[in-house]
Amino acid sequence: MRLIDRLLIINVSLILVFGLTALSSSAGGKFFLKQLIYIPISLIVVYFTYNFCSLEFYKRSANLIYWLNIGLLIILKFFGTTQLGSQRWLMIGPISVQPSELAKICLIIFLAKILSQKEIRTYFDIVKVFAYIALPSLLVLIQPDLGTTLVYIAITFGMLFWAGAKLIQLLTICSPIICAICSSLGYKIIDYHNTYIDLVITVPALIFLIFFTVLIIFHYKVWSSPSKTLITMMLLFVEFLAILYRPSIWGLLKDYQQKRLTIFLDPYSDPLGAGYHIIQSLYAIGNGGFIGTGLRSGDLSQGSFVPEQHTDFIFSLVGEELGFIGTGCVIFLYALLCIQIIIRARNSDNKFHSLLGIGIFSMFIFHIFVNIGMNLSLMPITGVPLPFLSYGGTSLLVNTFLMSLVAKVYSENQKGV
Amino acid sequence: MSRFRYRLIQIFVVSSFFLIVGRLFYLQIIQGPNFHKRVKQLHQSIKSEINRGEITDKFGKTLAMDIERYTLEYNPVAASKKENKEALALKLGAIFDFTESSRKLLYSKYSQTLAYNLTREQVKMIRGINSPSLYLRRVITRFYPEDNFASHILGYVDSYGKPRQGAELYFQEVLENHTENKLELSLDSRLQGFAEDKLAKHLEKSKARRGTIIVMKVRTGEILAWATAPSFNPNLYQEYSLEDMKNWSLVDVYQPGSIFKIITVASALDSKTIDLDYKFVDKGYITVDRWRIQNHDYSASRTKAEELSLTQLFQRSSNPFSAHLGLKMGNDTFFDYLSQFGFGNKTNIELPGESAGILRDKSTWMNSDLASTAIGQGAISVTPIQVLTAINTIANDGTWIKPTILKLNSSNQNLKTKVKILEPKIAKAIQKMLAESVAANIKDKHANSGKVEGLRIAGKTGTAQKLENGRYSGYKTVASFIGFFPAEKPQYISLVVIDDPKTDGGWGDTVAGPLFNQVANYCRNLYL
Repeated sequence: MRLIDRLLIINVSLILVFGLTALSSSAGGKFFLKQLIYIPISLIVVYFTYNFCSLEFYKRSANLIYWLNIGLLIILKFFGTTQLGSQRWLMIGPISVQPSELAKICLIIFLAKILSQKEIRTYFDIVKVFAYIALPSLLVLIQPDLGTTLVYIAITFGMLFWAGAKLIQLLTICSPIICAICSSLGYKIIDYHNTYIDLVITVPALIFLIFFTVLIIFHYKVWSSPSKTLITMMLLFVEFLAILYRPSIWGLLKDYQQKRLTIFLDPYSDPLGAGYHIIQSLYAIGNGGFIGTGLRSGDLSQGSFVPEQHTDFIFSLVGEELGFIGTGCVIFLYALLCIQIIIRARNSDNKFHSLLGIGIFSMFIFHIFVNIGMNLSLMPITGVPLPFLSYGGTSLLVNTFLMSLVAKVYSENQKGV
Repeated sequence: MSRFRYRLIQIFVVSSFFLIVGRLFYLQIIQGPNFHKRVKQLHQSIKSEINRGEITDKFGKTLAMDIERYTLEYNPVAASKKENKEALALKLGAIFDFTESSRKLLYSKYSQTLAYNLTREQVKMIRGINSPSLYLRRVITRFYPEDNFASHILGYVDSYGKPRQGAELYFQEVLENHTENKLELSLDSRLQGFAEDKLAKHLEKSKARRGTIIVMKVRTGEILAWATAPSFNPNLYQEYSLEDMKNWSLVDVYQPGSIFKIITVASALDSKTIDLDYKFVDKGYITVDRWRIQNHDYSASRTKAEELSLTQLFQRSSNPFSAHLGLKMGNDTFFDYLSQFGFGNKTNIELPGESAGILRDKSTWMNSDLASTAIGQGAISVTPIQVLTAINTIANDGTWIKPTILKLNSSNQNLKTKVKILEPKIAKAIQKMLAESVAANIKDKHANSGKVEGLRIAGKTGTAQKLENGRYSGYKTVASFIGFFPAEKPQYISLVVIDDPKTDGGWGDTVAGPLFNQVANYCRNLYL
């Protein structure tokens, strides 16, 4: 007998109800009906996939799915429509599809497959996985869609960790980036400028470097062999390179892109420009107070002062119109959802299933945390939607499908028990 | 899978959600009331839904009122994907003046305001377009049906619904809380209109920098007309500089010059420093310490010493005589009287931003200061409304009265503030002297000031040199005339001040005098 994951379905339905309520209040309810149409579509699609495709089927066709996905992204490069300055949508007749959304499913399935076949042990294993991810990531990055690219990376890290990669390995992989970010913050300690070298080490960068070096030395017992010492020194050299070239890599971004990424640190520095979204969002959320202003009566949400309030900034509408009670409920439901997913991943005996669950979890928590963080001015503005709340057909379909995979992990595992 | 990894993920989930909840708690519970207050303020000012009562003149003619207007906003989020923006622009262009820059607003990502102050007809037509992206917002705006009329008295309300100056600001409480009541001003629209018209024409002709005409009722202090140029249109306040919108006759000070001699003589008489028959030999100049004060027409070869009466002091506008009176009174007495007349203090007329003028403290006065103050320079600077109020004391038989822009009736008589300064006998004597000197000047010197057929006027001209960077300018003057009528029993007083006229020699008599005559004649026709 197949067990149905009722708790998960109830939870997702509740989140969806919140989303629809918020949408019905946003932009005069224009997007509410459209989203409503996508729900039966998603349910029909998911009904068929749930009943007719086993998880084993996905595992078997993982390679095919990966290459189909690459193909789709390449087609998008040539035939995609450009909206809001970014080439994201592919028009198939009356339907517009966002391949970068579908790519999330494909990557999770593909990674789950390769990681379930081979345990991650060495740095080389990790680099191989990143090589697979690089191609789709680059294709999305040039759309340009930085937010989605970061989602892929977050998925990869989550799944690598679950597949056995050690924290220190992941930290080492990230260390040049962390080092570069740290060097851009805080007070300068070493500030060496000449024609060839432009090295700025700040307090946070120095702290990180010392911490990281000590960690590496003691963890790998670097003193035990000369080759280890050499590798460690090379690693440190890479860190310095990251600091050295940070300004030029950062300079590759256009002015407005740089601003979008840093404005959350001080939105009031440009209240009518880059900081506008964040300030409006903060005002809306703060204005809601404990009980909120009530649906369709948010002072800021209703005047459409908050831009993109049906997609990226829908959380601020919830915050204003439903107050702390509303946001608290949403956060609680999301937290519950995340915990439900990881419990299902843990309980599964099948490595592929378990990795699927963690991939989905990584994607969800990244979406939730980055989107809400952006609404609360904790994170840079990257166009990452909030699952089940933001308006978007493809996104809804993808999220529902992923949930069906989690439910399947649950039911197939129960079968085995 | 390993228990350690699972725990770590769990901790990560819980801590990140706690971080979010903490931030939400800070924003919504701790900072919530602050945000709420600021949003409310923001919205109140955006909507400017504050109703204000009407302001009328003394006859009930509306000078300022609330009207309902619509603002058209465009919300790109609500726009349907297929909406043809160019077609929409064309449709809107047929309804109101739709410029190229507003057309660009249609392509913005954010909500934009396309038009303000739409009328009911325009609103009907816009509703006809029936586009979901168009949003009409009803707003109450302040409207001044007479445009520039009495704008310095009325003030204006900015587009955020905030009163900015004039009666709108001074009576903010009354206007906003008792919207059903009309605020009745003492202004007579006919006289106000006449004065504004004449002043504007005069300024154009004489190329003067600015000017003012004030007409007041002697017994009550009610302002009947107060024209100030340059003026502005409160409906279009954005188009004017702050300098133009400033009521300079209330805010800026100048040195009054010869008209101040009225005050000097009144002080000298009332303090019994001199009596009514006092005579003085005017040599054309007087030497005070090392300084020399002379008459404007003094010439070493032609001027002969002459014994002058007080009437002749006014008639000739004798500087040595006035300076002599000042010196004779001394610092204490003169300063006391000047303070009583209200110099160095606000008149407390019901308008915001009034200047108190300058009356330098007597302890700093040297003899030269005393002498020059007596001729309206030196230690004193005044606002036009201040000097009018002070000299009205003489017209009002010795009682100082607070000027007001409100129509006085049985209920607000308490607004009247009276201070007896002079003996009525002395005030009446000065009235007589002023009337005689005006008549004599018209007869002997073909003077202009006070020459109104069938109306006796008591008054005094003033031609003050302008202070520029601390020195008296050789050619820039402030020409003024103050007069009250009928001279037998004064009922109306008027002050005309023209700042920096470029024609007619810049004299009080030639520049301000004719203007005064016209206003006095018009006022006589209305009231006497």
